[in-house]
Amino acid sequence: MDPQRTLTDIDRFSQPDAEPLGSLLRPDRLSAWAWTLGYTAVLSTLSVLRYHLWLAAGDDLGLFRQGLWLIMHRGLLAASTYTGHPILAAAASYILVLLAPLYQVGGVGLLLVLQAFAFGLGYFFIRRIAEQIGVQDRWAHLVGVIYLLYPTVLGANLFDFHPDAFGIPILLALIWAALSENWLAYGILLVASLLVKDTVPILLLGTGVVLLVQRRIGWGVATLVAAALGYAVDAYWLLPALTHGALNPGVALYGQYGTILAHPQHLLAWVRSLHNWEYLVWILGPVAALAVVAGKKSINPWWIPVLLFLEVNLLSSTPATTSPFNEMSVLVIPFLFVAALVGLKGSRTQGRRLTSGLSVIVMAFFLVFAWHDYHVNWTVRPPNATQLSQAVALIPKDAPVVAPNFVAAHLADRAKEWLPAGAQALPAGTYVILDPVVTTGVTPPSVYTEYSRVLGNKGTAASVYSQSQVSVYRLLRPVTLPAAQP
Amino acid sequence: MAALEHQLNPTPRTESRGQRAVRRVQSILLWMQLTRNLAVRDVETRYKHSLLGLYWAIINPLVTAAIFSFLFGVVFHAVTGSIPYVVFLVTGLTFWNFFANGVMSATGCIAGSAGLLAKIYFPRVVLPTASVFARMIDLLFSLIVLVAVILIYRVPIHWSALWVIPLLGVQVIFTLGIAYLFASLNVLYRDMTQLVGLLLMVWMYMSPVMYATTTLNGTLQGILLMNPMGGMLQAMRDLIFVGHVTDMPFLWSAFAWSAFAFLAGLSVFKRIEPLFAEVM
Repeated sequence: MDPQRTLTDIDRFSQPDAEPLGSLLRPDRLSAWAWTLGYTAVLSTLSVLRYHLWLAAGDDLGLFRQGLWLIMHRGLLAASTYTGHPILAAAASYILVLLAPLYQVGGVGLLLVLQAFAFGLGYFFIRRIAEQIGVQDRWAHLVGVIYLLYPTVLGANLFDFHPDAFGIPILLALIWAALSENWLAYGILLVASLLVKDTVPILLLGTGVVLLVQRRIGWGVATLVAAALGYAVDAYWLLPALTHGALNPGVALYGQYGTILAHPQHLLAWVRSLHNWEYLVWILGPVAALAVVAGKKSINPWWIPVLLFLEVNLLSSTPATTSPFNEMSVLVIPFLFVAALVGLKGSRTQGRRLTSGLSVIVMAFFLVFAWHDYHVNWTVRPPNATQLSQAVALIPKDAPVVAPNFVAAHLADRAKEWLPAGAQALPAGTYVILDPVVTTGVTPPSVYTEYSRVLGNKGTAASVYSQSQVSVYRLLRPVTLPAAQP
Repeated sequence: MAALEHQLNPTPRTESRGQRAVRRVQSILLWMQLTRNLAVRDVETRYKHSLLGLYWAIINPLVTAAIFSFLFGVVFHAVTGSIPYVVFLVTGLTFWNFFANGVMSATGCIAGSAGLLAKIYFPRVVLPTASVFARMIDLLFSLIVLVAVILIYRVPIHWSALWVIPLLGVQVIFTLGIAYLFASLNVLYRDMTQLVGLLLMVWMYMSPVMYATTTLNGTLQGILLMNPMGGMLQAMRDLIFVGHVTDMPFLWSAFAWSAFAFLAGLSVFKRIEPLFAEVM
């Protein structure tokens, strides 16, 4: 090759029409995507590591894996053995239908990466919304970083797998479409948001009110109609049909509003519980620091959906709905951050001291969360991973299986799978894996005692594997166990 | 006046979306052509006045493989299951060397092209891209060595080995990202060349290039596979010799890291790019 020819080629680029590729290559857009993907990479790696180390915070990874497998192999209406109902009824997460083919192709790894990406996209949309509102770029970035370090976001991301994660980018994009007055995108995103979970209509109700307050009557009415329709379809048609009339826990939360309407004094029934206040500190704390900067402007209509949603969680007062680190609270996050961004509109950077103060508060929340998460979710780890791998390898592909939650997540691609505490009538040929060394709360020690008693009977089960306290039994005849409360 | 306006605003406002798209595609094609030409020039100048020429691309991996095979296979008795250690090692080294050499040669490429940069305008990102693509030639020769070693030891391989090609594409994206990062940082801080050499050495020992992770305990295995290069190297070996990827979730997280590395590297490059002329 003649070097002179190469230089001639280069000369062609000195012509003025050689310009960047477009908006994607703008440094700010590149940077926003880099933050989004950086979060995705770190959190998906941690999620995959948890899976690799047989860590499970609950039983939802197994539940959703089985549900997705059932959608692809047995149809939409196949009942999950975890709940007795089709997986779509578990949380009215119809979005699972779209995830099922992806799961079929990429397995659990792709599922965990997609979940982390959905959370990471929150940063990207926060930047776009900030741009739309007119928030200074430096503040927008700071708010975005606070979002990425937000204990609720991190906690929910590391808490197994939940389709609620996909609600974050959808709801943020919905707000962005409303702010940029893009009717088409708004309509599509309204429908998409209703596919995420049965608690979304309450957030749409709040959004509709916000738009009405902003005198955008058409937008507000359309949103309120969508919220009402979404609720009605879920509560009166789809969920009763899917569950054969059983009341869905998500929709039952709306009953709390019925209680308030009948007895208004119940509005603040939650205030006497210290746990509820702790929940509020975790959910509102990091954003409250931003409100200090925003001053009076921090009180804006976007708090309406936040308060509506939190009120439902607080009134129900169950451990799940008032835990700041699981999926039950993530859907409020988009509105919380939009409220913060609107408060920051027009704020100029107010000195290094203020930014440092904010960073210290946010980091304090993050560090306390990290300490808590490490001790609660990372230290309770099966010490006998090699034996568990060997035990799992022994189970035939389609055989019914009973396994504790951290093992069940590895065996979920089958029609019949139960957690030890949830199993009652087990057919002959069922494989039972027991690891009494690890107690995660989903399988209390008393359940293991009951299983040892039943499986110890001669003629009931044959021992297939036993090493380092990990045991595998194969049932020789059907077994009925007493109902146990996890 | 009109000439000045054209210089300040080269994209006329009257241009339609379609026309703009066509012009962008033309720009991309030109960039690709330039990248290819620079990559070929890189290879030519590297081997031009050497006695053995392109044979060095075969000699280098062979000698490295021989040394490591003796050290880890004979002295330390590394366990690699049913695959002979030499085959195991050459597979790992082939793909690792492409990454390491690509990053190493890209690191100095901007600082080493000061004359060219001062003379004319062209997208600077083309230089590290060309440096990485130039290493494809070396990879090609290393793959010939790998095939020869597999044939000599008569190790059965699977059809799934064809999946290595798209996986190599992901590795290129990851390599480019790291290359953009260090190439731009090296313009500001010349210690980068030393640092990258050191970093790559540590990185290689922390990746399953010379040892198999299957013999390690679960925790250590997980920590090593968190490293994106670890996940990709293990997956490539699995696809060639096992027939499927044994740790698929880690491969997905490696894909996420590759996408991040590419965009973050490009983002840093774009931010530092305006300073190139000033610093050099």
